[in-house]
Amino acid sequence: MYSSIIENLMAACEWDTTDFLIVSANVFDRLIYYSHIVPLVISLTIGFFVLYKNPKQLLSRILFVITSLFSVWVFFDLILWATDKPYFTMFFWSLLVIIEPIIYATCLYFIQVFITGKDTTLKNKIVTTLFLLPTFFLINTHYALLGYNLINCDREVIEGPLTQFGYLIEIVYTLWILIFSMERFRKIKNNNVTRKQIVLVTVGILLFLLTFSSGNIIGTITNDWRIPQWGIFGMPIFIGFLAYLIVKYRTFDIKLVATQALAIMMSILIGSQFFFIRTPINQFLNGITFFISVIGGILLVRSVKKQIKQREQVESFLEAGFTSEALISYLLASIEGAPETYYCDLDKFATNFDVTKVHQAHTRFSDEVLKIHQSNSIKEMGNKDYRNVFEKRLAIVKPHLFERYKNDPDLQKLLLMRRSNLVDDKFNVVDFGEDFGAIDERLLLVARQVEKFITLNDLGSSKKSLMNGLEKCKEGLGLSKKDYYMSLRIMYTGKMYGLGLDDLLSYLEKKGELGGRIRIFKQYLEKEHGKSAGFGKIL
Amino acid sequence: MIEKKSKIFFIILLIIILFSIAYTYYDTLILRRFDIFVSEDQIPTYSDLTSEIRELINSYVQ
Repeated sequence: MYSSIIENLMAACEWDTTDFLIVSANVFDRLIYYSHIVPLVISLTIGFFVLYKNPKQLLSRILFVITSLFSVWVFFDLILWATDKPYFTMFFWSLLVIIEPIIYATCLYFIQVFITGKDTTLKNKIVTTLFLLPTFFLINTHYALLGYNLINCDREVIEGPLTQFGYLIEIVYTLWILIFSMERFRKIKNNNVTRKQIVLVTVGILLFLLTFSSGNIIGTITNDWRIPQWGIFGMPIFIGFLAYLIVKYRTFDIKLVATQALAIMMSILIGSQFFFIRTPINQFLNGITFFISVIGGILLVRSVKKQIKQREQVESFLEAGFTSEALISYLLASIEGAPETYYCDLDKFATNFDVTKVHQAHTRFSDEVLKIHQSNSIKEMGNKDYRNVFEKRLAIVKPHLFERYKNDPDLQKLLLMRRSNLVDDKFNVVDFGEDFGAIDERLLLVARQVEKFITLNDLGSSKKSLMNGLEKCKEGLGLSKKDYYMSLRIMYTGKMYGLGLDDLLSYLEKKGELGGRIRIFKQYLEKEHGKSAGFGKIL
Repeated sequence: MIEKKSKIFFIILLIIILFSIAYTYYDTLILRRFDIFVSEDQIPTYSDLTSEIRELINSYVQ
């Protein structure tokens, strides 16, 4: 270990031991924990959040790297405040010397990608990184850290010229950011929105970097390491700007609103007050405030999120040219019902064919729709009434399907077809099945979606039996997929009107829809269930 | 998206960084090979450092 002189000197300093690397009486003021842990939690939260929301976007990844490096830096700095072991001080101080310039270089990369909207060239990356190489290669020499300072009891190192060089390249990176931004700002003359974004992102990053570096530089020059604590608070300023950019310009395509950011920030800040509150009564009062702020924040965020979602959907529907009738129906269902659950159930329904859940979801719709649902016995209703029911349901379901298929213009086009193309005047069923040979598989999927949603609510709990029966038909007859869906459609239609099989087949024959394949199907049903079997028996 | 050459570049950079961290870890935490100064006179001057770096470069060259 150390020589007896050094051991005696260290003992004379009366340093406290450290638990969990950071908990120690060596940290002279609890403000240190507050100034470190708050920015650490905020930056990590935002970094992960941005990456989670848009993992493939380059800007999200760069921001994640910046926030992660900053968090690591802050944590290591806290270790330096707490530790009593010289080798820990030497190791973590060396890491800070490595990490600091990387943060600056990454910020430069971030601003280049942000402003240009694309990745930089390999040449640019190499030039940027060249400044960092001396630090990487010489970090373990006396050039970086001369040694441990036991002249006083401050538990610090004596920095070498490489560390000073690190501060120099930090200034170079800062100037580089400034010059790059100004140059781009000057070039863009006709787009005030883009210019504003450049100003905001540049100011945000520069504020962060300047406060960060000024603290370090002042600490090195004056040898007073209390001052750099205030530099760490530069990060929340930067995050504030970034949150503004996300909300205002949706730079990261995140549907984040200011309320969310504020609610989270408020909770973190109130919670972090525990680090410096000492008296039990204040801790208790802060605990109550923290609890109320968390609950209030959750409720507020939920409410605002719901409104934002509705607004964005309505905007997209209006852009797509939906009728006001469809939008009113949609809004009625969304506001008075439970849209979140509804989407969820609709999704499950589409994949698992879980009729009961769709049925339940539907009953949570607005009172108006609920009444329709309750009185929805086809036999008791006239054709006209049913058409009204159908149209209202179609008006509700179409925007949802439109939203779900927003990345598929073909399917959206289909959903925007005139009602006359979707609904047969006499038969009131979605008419996607005119020509199966020409229908694209994807269109068929949508047809199924619409058909299922509208018609299956009328079929009640017997759908599972129906589907099983049809599966057997398909297997038994060797029906193709097209024939299978055609059969399905016929059966739905028949059930909706309470028709017997013969009635239905006669109708289809008149319409000229009863082709050879359907005849085979008819023969199968007759063989299995007897001639003139009603749907009830089949089910 | 990042092009393939850039990805390779970032991987090389990451390896260099990890290597320098690993080497520092080995030197300071395992071997605990560093100086502890108890008086101002022990702190090396810039000329001491120059000779050290010269030795280091020579060792790389050899």
